[in-house]
Amino acid sequence: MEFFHDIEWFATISFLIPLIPGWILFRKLSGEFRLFICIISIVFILSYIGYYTSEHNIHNLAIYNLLYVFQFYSYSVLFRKLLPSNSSKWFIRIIVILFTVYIAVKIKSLVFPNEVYNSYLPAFMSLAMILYCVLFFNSQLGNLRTTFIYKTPWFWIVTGLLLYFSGSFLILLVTNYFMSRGNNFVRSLWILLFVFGIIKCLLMGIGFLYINKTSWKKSF
Amino acid sequence: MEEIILIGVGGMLLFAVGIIAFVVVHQRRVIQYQLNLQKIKEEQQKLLLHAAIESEEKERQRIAGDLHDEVGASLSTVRLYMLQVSKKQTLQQAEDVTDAAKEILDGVVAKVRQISHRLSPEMLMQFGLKDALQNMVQKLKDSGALEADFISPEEISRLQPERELAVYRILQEITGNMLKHAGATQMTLRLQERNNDLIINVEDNGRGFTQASFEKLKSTPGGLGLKNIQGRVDILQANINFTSVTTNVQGTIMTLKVPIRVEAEIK
Repeated sequence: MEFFHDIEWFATISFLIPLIPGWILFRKLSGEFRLFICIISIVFILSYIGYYTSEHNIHNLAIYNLLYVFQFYSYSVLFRKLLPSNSSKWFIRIIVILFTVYIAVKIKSLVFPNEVYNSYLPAFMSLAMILYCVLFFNSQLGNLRTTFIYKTPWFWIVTGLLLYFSGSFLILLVTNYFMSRGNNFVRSLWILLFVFGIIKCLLMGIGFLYINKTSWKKSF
Repeated sequence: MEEIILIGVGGMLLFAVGIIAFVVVHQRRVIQYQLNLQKIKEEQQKLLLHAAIESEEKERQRIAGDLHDEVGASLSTVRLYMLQVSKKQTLQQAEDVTDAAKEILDGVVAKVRQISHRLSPEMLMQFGLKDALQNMVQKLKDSGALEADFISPEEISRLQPERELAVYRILQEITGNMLKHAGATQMTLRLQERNNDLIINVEDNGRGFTQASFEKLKSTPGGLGLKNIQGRVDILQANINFTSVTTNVQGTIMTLKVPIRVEAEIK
């Protein structure tokens, strides 16, 4: 039990890896980077509230629902800025509409959740994020602005997001199934989820290493 | 059930890693391809530059040869005739020598005009591309080397003088090649204007010449004329295309598409 909380704490605190250089360089960064820093700052705060309430056995499913909804909309805005093609922007628009319809239908259970964890919301969010990341990489296939794609900050940031959401998609989807049966296996899965979270933050941190003086004001 | 979930999570991670690896490898390949393409283009540019210099040098040598062998020799002969005039005893003899000198001088004037025309076609400068090409076809026809037709609308937009000259030189080279290598007995030169393009077709009944042959020959160390054509086509931001059904006796259709106003001019 202690290990679970420890790793959850580490996963929450690991947001500081990209956040510290991000806030130090904030004034010199381009719009997309600034938006990204703001997003992960709010995600960090919500994750910390989630961790704190979990530590003190306070009902926190509404906080997590808020976290998922916030992540979905904010990353949708970010990827809409990052993806240049109109077809990608339309794709994001359609996903947002679908998600909004789902939110509208389930609004009551999301704001006032019962004891059962809603798996569909985070799974939908993760799937959308995976698709956004794939779209981003697809747009980078013909990118000739840089010789080494892995020397660009966005490559590492999106890699972190893709690995995290790919790893967490199934875990989040089956959480409800295992929780409703009182199966402790879900805790092991969430430990994996926290590990993926730490890896994501490390990769985002690597991304910030590649923001050099010449590319501060550039997106790629 | 637990195992299946773990395998699923592993599978998803593998999928993500696969996508990332694919993007990195593919992007590297694209970059490599672009670099190779750039290298080939640079080599092609070098070849074209070399061909242009070589061609200019040859032209100078030819003009020097013409001036020395024909104009120079003729003028020397006239000079000799002039020296003889004073030595002649009768007026008739002096007149005969003067007439002979006059004939030679007429020849020299014609030759100088010919050289001048080759350097800068008078017709082109005065009346434009359409009339210059019509004149070129007429001369081919008059030479009796082949049957030649010229088809053009009444009015054709004028290009900038240096662009018209480049088009004219390309067609001179094309018709020259047609006579030298294709063994054609008929040709038709057709001018058309479509949107912002001047389209020139030269059709002959000689040995076929394909686009592939053009691409191949212009990259060889020889093929100076073809390199010059390509160089001028590049300068004009034009397109040239050769089509031929076979490489036997089906003939060739050359299509030259020249933008009437290039991007820089429009801006």
